[in-house]
Amino acid sequence: MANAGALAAVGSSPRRLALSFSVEQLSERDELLLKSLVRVLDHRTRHHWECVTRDADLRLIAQGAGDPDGPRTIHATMRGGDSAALAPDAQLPLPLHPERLQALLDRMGDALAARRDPADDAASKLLRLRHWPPIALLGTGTRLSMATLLSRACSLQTLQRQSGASEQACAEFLNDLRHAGLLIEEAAPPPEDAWPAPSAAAPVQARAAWPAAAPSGLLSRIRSRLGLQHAQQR
Amino acid sequence: MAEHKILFTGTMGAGKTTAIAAISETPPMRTEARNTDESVAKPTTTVGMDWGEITLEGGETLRLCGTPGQQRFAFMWPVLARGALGLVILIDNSRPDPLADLDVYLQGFAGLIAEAACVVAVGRTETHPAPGLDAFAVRMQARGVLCPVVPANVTRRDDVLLLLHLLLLQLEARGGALATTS
Repeated sequence: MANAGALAAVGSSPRRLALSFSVEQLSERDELLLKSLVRVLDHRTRHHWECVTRDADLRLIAQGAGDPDGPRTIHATMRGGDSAALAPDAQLPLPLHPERLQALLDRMGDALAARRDPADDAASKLLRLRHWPPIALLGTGTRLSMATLLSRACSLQTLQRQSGASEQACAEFLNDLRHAGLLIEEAAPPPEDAWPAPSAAAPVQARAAWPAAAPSGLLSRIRSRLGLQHAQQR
Repeated sequence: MAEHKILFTGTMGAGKTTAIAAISETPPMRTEARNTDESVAKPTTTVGMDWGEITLEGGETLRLCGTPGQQRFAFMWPVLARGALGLVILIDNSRPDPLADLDVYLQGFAGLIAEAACVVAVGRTETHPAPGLDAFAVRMQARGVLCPVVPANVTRRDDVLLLLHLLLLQLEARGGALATTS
């Protein structure tokens, strides 16, 4: 469990993680505003934040939804955490203010980063395919999605989240791949910037290559426009 | 306003323009000319590029670009590939040597495939099941390429959407892996 002291201690962490948040009990207008602000602030926040509907790293929950004047505060709760222990750092007053929101996201992001210790986290291993599996191993759409994710190195967490597969389905598929000699498991490389640095800092010559070429949220916007929901939003 | 693009490539008649039309919000703009290749029974073919587009939230544009299919226009491929998010390779399994066709595009777009995302979509498998999908996977492996290979009928919008879904998954996997290495 992170505390205020831990938050301060990781305040200068150079790691930029891809983190997720969900929004609960906010009015439609405030929810839209919050999501837009997060997107706009992406070039300033220390971590990259994506909105999901469940299993978020950070839950933003409006307090006092029954209040005739509407909720006055948003409480932030980290995955597996307790917002009460973080108060008042975990509270965001309404109406939304960009600088306060940024500060909250940075505090929570740093705390989440502190919890992720690649040295003792088996989930930090990168998994990838040796080559594309035979069609006999790809019986379902979910397996096709998992294989596609594994065609690029990805973590177990990313595999589960992006494919929408259950933990068991994930484990079974990985076992099948292991038995077929198709799975490569490797330690994550040494820490560097985890997520593309804010676009303002990206070198111009990197325009041709991913990820510098893809502004934050682009993939989500493409999915949204085409009706291709993220697995975790289905 | 920012523009992004996804490329569709493949042999003449593989269905690049059809695939784009299946999901574009506007009828694809085409640069077609009379087909002089008697081996392919179609009156016109794409000689430059054609594209459709999709407007994203906030006004950004996602362009869906079809490359000219014939290898004699290969000099244009690197230009079209610059800055693309990903590549869909459409294979017509009714052609004489679909695996050799695949080789052409794996080589022609090697840089984009390595840097971005790629999906191989094999068409007309109902009438021409051979070579099977596994043969394409083995051929990609021999060329050092690892990407999804799936059957697709690009006249069906859902099939084309699946191809884009698989492209996006690869890009998302990369983002997640980067986060893991932090």
